[in-house]
Amino acid sequence: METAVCFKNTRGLTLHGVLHHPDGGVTPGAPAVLWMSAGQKDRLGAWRMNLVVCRRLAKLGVPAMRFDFHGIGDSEGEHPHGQFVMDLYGYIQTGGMKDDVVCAARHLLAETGVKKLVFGGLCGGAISALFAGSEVRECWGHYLVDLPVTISSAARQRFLEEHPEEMLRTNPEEAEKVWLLYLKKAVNPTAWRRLLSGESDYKLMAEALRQRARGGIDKVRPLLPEGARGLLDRVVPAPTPVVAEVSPGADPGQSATGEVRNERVAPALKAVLDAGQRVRLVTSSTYHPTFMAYFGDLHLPKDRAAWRGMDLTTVPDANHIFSLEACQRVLFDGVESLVQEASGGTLPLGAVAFPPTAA
Amino acid sequence: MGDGFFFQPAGDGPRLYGFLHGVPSGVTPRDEGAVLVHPFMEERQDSHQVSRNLGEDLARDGFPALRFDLYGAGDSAGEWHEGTVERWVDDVVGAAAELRRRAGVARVALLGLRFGGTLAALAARRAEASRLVLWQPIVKGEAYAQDLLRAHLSAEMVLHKRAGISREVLVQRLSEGEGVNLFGYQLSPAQYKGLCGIDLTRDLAGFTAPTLAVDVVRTAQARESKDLRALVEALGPSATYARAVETQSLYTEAKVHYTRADQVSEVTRAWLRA
Repeated sequence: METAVCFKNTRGLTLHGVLHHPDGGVTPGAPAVLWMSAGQKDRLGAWRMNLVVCRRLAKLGVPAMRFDFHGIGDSEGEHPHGQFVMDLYGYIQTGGMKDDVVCAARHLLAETGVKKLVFGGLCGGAISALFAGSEVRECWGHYLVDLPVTISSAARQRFLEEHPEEMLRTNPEEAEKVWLLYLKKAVNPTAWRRLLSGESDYKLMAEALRQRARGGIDKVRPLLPEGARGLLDRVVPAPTPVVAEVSPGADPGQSATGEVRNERVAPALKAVLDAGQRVRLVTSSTYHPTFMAYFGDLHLPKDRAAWRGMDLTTVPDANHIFSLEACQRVLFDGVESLVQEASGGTLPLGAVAFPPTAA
Repeated sequence: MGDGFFFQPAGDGPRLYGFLHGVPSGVTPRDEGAVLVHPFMEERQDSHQVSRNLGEDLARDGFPALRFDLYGAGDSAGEWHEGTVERWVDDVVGAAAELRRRAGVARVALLGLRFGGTLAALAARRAEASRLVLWQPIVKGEAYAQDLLRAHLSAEMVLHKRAGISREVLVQRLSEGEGVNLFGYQLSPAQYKGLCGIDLTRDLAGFTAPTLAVDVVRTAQARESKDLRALVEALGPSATYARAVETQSLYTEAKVHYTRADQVSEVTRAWLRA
């Protein structure tokens, strides 16, 4: 049984989706799956991929939900008409849909009563799932297909213009200048009025202050004894740039097309792994070279133990949308085996035929 | 903005997904609603935002508008390959009845983009459509089916970096009862046969309800569609030919996020309001 659902996101926009209920009830131990949409595609995905994934899961006794991000499909909101699709992708790849995922997860938990979730999605769906993972403590793991690790340079620039506090994180020396500007304003009554009336950019102020404090700590850090330094590193880790310029060793073909490495990916991956969440990365053979060119250069910690819980599978002869039948089969098997792992082995795998039968 | 729901046009038959754009408060509802029929395969997905905004525009003009998914498509029940032209025509008729029931309107206009326009036209008599609006409809199904196969072969060639089988081989396979995977959708032999059998200049002949055929072009200088002109001539004085310039395709993924078809909307609403 499938039902139409709607819920609000944090901006008060109504998001629409479909919840797939298992006809025979939820299999004991099973999680619910929240499957995210890619790019400007609605909750169906290319060739109804998302729907087929969810229907198959429901037949295994796993509730599954798909929904439209704000401004896409049936959901309220607008993304600018006539904007370049790359800009929309950039919005998604800098976390624009993260809050929608968190709200959808809350709705799914409330509707089904299950205690754990698995997130999944292709491309923009994968990265939206990843960004939200660490904010949903019920999230057990992720099935991330062709996780985008690059971002258009134009989208990066726009993101930084809209989030100047993030610019400070990338350029700590600018934080000092911004902080001095704020200090000069301390004797300006107009500035105080803006501060007290809520018109100031508090995020910018806080980031400037934080960077300044961090600068002080970083000066002290090398002077500390090893034990104290280790403790400090745990409490105040060294900052990671959020979105950085492409490194000299990166794929020149990609940078020529205006793509740069998205440095939000590695911290997000680390955050979900630190939260004990499982991550299965799946790449199509089409996307795999790009993925590996950047993934190996994502400032991953040297300590491989930090990446425990993550695995990577590459699907040969696969296009980005996994439309070929053999790829579809690998995709479904991968999702279902991960959900089986989350269930503790209780799902009746093999009960769903391929190609899938009608609902 | 509206509500999504499932309905069963054939009583206890398969459930179809619908989304009703209700008339906003402050706008006088008309006694005529609009059913919007979506295009074929991935064109449905890539035109979704445009269809949604057209639905909203119509609702703001007082026409309650129902978008819905055909059997085996969108959020509706069934698998794509199980759908047939006949079944989809039944769905359009069922959706018109559902809109009459839900919105309480006596008259229902059928509107459709591309193959959705074709299905709207094929269902118009049975659905007792008050009016018919066809946006870039597929007039000749045979040519459309061949275009789909050609596009599929091009995509395969790009993926595998080599030319594979020919279109003739695909046609042969279909005639032998084998399906063909088109961009992840299984085109069944029955669907292929159904598509090839469509010729709206013949199938819609004699239909007398007012019909608007909108030729959606990319530039003002673009040539008019011969097929669409032929259809309008076949229908006679009840049909109106119109042009709408949209700088981007309404139904294919492009570099630009095209969410509104303002010209199409303007032409359509002016005609419906008249």
